[in-house]
Amino acid sequence: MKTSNYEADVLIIGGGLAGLTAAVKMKQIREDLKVMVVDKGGIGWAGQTPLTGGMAIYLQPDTVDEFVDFIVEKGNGLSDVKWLTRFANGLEPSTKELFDWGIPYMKNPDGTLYLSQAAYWGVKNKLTSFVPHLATLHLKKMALARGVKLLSKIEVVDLLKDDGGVTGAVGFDILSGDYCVFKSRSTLLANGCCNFKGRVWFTMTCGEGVAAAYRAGAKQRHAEYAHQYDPGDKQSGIWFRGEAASDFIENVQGETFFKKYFPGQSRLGSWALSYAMGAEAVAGRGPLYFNATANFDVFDSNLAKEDIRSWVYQGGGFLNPDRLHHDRGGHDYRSQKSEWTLRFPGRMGSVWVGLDCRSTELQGLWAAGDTVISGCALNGAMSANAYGRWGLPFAYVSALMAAKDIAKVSPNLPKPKSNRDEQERLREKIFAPMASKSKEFEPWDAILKVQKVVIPIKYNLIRDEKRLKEGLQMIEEVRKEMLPRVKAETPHDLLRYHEAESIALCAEMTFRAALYRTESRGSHYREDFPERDDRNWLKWTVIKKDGENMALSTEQVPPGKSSVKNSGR
Amino acid sequence: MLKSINEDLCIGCQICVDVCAEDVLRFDKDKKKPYVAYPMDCLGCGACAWFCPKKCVDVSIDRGRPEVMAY
Repeated sequence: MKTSNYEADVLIIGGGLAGLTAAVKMKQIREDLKVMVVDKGGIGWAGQTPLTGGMAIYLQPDTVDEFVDFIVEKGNGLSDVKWLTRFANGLEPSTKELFDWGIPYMKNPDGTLYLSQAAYWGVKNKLTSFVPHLATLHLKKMALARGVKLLSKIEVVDLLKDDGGVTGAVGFDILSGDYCVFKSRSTLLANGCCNFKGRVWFTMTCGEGVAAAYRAGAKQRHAEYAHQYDPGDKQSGIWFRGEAASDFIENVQGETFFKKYFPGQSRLGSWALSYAMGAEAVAGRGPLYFNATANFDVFDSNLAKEDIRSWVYQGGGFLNPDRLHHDRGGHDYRSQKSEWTLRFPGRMGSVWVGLDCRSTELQGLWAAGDTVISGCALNGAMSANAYGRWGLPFAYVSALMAAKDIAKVSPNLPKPKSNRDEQERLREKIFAPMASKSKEFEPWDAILKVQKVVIPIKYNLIRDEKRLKEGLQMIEEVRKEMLPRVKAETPHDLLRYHEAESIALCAEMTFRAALYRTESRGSHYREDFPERDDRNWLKWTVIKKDGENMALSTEQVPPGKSSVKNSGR
Repeated sequence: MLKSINEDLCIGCQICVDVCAEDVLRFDKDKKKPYVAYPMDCLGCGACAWFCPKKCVDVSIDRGRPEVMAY
């Protein structure tokens, strides 16, 4: 096995929307920076971005305050208002910047940026749209034109550290199996969140960046809110976020039930409908059905407007729910009711960074995009994308913030030293499954066992101490008993192994945080602590590695603009 | 499940290899064509077929790995 050595001023781990945006911006500010982007997939096509819907929220400046107030109110006291405000204020200038770069957004006939009305559950925002894979391909071209080095099919596993700071990363080439060592003054983690391979799409991101950050000593926040369940069609797998479907879901007795759980409330975020469906299922009133046979047009009008939807699909966008629903054997909603269920897209991106995306613990480390989307606690006591259309703009807003800070700070950081002992230690650790004599388990055995904990609602939606501990025990069995007995025969197996390891670590953080928070608030529901407890829990949960242990603590939500009003729960 | 790639239509652009989230496909540098290296890991997402410019990928929604349901 060869070792390939790389050096750069800035290493960007993850070549999706966030990573490529950051690379281009950095080079614009400091042309002399040597920037390298590395990704486990084929850059330009890899990651989540090409499979997304291509719609992004946008706020005109005079709606920012109202938007922030709304989100804070619905966030049940746990919004990080500073981060939320930065994001909200950053939407217009960041979108305009990417538009000026030539990202192919939907335009008006006069060539200006087209703004669509938000869906009915939208929160004072407008929507912009681009065909996602065309955006990443455009960014790839821009990056290459500016001399950014792009390396595809490399799985980064761990960060390199020196004197308490991050000085690069190590991983392996998925094709050749070679060990890869990256030395850099600055490192930006932009390789997504952990989706636990919980849904058929977006399975590439397994939280490797979140796991690497945790192992290096970076703080994590809000891990108990990283669980997102999306209601959608059981057969086709398509989903609808927000509450667009809430008046159309009925139980086996033919009753619609959302209002029973959240009387007089709306626009809580999709966690509310997911909870209501979960509770009906647990109460034995399933299967649940989507029934819009009497008023499909009303449902359709709840979705993102037809103008923006059809434009993305005509441009070749992958995520066309109508097409996917049809191609995957779904019923015609106009004429038939259809069984719906909950699926688990995960979205565990709990790394907690400062407002400039810079790590507050580790010099030389930044993180942006989905890697930090739950850690930023933008929308409070719910999962990061509970309103939908936030993921794409958060990727580029945070990436631009990170790039500006890195361009300012990186040139003053020391050149990384060569720490051969550490590189060798990590090489042995990374390749251990290939040297393993035991072949009891495949990596997918471990992934499935973790999925059997994070996906079932009895563990991860309708929580209680006994089942959370049961889940944690299963996760521990994966980490301590299964993973050490996985044999990786090929670099492909090794990739799957490290995905399994990250998935298990992210699951453990989620469950420990859920066990820690002894109350119910927003999408975190504890049967054994069903009430909200502001006296003890107007706090964020924090996770940090402490030796071999996972240490949990809390941090008080700062006083100021926060809500003591109950929004849903 | 990724069933086959029509090599007569395939132009060797590697988009299917690049977009696959599960590393199911690899590229044969001699033949200049992709091949299904790890069929059991295919989850039937359909991205390879959708983005193929020549529509030469045949994939069904069947998964190589079981799906865990929420309830």
